[in-house]
Amino acid sequence: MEHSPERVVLMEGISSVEHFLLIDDIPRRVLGDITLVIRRTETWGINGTSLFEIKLLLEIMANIRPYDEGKCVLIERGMMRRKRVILKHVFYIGSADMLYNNMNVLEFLMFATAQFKTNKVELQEEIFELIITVGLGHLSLTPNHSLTNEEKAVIILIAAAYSDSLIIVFNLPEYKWDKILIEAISKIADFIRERGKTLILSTQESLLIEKACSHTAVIHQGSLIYSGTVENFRLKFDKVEVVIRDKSVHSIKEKLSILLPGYKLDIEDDNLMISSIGLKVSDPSSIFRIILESGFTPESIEINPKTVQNAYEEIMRLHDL
Amino acid sequence: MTQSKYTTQEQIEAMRREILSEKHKLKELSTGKGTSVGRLQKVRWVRKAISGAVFLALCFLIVWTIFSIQLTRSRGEIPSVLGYQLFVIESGSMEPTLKIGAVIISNKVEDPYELRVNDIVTFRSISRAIITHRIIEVVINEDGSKAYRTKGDNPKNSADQELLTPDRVISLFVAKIPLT
Repeated sequence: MEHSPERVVLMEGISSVEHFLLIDDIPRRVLGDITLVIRRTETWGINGTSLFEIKLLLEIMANIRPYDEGKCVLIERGMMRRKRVILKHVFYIGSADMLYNNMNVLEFLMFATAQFKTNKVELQEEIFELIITVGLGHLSLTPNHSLTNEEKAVIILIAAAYSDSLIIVFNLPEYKWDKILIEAISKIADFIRERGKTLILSTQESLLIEKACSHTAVIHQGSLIYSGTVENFRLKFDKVEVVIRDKSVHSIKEKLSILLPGYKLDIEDDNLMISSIGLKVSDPSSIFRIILESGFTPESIEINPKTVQNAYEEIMRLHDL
Repeated sequence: MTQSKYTTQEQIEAMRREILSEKHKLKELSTGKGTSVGRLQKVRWVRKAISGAVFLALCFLIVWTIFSIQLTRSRGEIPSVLGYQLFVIESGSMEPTLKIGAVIISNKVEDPYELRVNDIVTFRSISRAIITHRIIEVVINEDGSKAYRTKGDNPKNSADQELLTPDRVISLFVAKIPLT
């Protein structure tokens, strides 16, 4: 039985070789002092303000780019700072050009899995049904050359899921994902997890992280400002507890500011957002009760579902300050 | 991007049917049902087995040949493969029939007493040199023993002085390898 380590990526104080040249200022490292631990079967979404920063981090992680300082260990194998080698246990997706244009989607996936000595008919059925299950049935027999880059990337991700690599690095932060593809990536991520692999993706789409990832890391100006579970990220940084919609939100705000002294009240597009302040434990039901007891009956009142996007905006606001 | 690029539900169902039919075929093969398909599979298997055996035999023959040639050479004998021997013509005594550098195939002689006029034979001379010449006469000695008079085909040559006795005959010419 193959030994599968728990920690698949260990980065300690990693700094990049690349620098940003700043006018009238000393050059800044693109990435500095990055410490990150990724465990087996986790799905990580790496987000950040700069596409270059997050792409570079995943390139270092996949052993494509050298690093200058720190230590990087992939599946218990230390990566030399300068020497770059293609690693068998890392499936790196850095472009959509890996698909052969003279095949259709199913043919390509059969070709990509041809090395495995299994019953080909059963494998074909399994892959075909997987494509349909993840919501890409409409692409299953489509020629590869007519797919968009984003669609191609998702097909390559399916091929990666069937590969024998333990780490899949999906490094396409510049791509824009629609809801269908986000749903598909989310289901493929579940499939990857079931197969005992780890998926690391870079994106600026908060919805993709929310749907597909168990963990997230946020990079801001070359530093890691958050790393942990998506759940914790949403609860910790999305402070909005309750959203009230009404024509007269301004008058409601005045009255509620007296009733809810421990909360922050903001108005955005006729929406009154009631947010907790500091590290207070989320308790939207008590706010709800206070509003109803005070006799207000707004047109709409709802508990904020806490999204990654809101949490991301909040963490960025905190760091810009 | 046009809608027509996408796979339709009909295409998906057709693919499913195709996969299902392939699965049935495989199932029939594994259970030995489906007479024509099963027979075809057996024929394929037999053909595969025969070609495999032939390939193995050829490999064995090549290895064995190389080994036996080296072994015979080390003993100072003339190497042969399946009873056939190869010789290279080193003089012009047999021209124009056999030019210098030609490679000939000769067969070991079963009965060296039954050779006839016009047979090309390879033999050892009294001085132990290997010579390939044509028999031009069968000579019966006074004591009843048989000998052969030999001569190279080259018109410049006269008949060999010494008579060839059957015990010095090595092999009988079979063919010349073309382009040599």
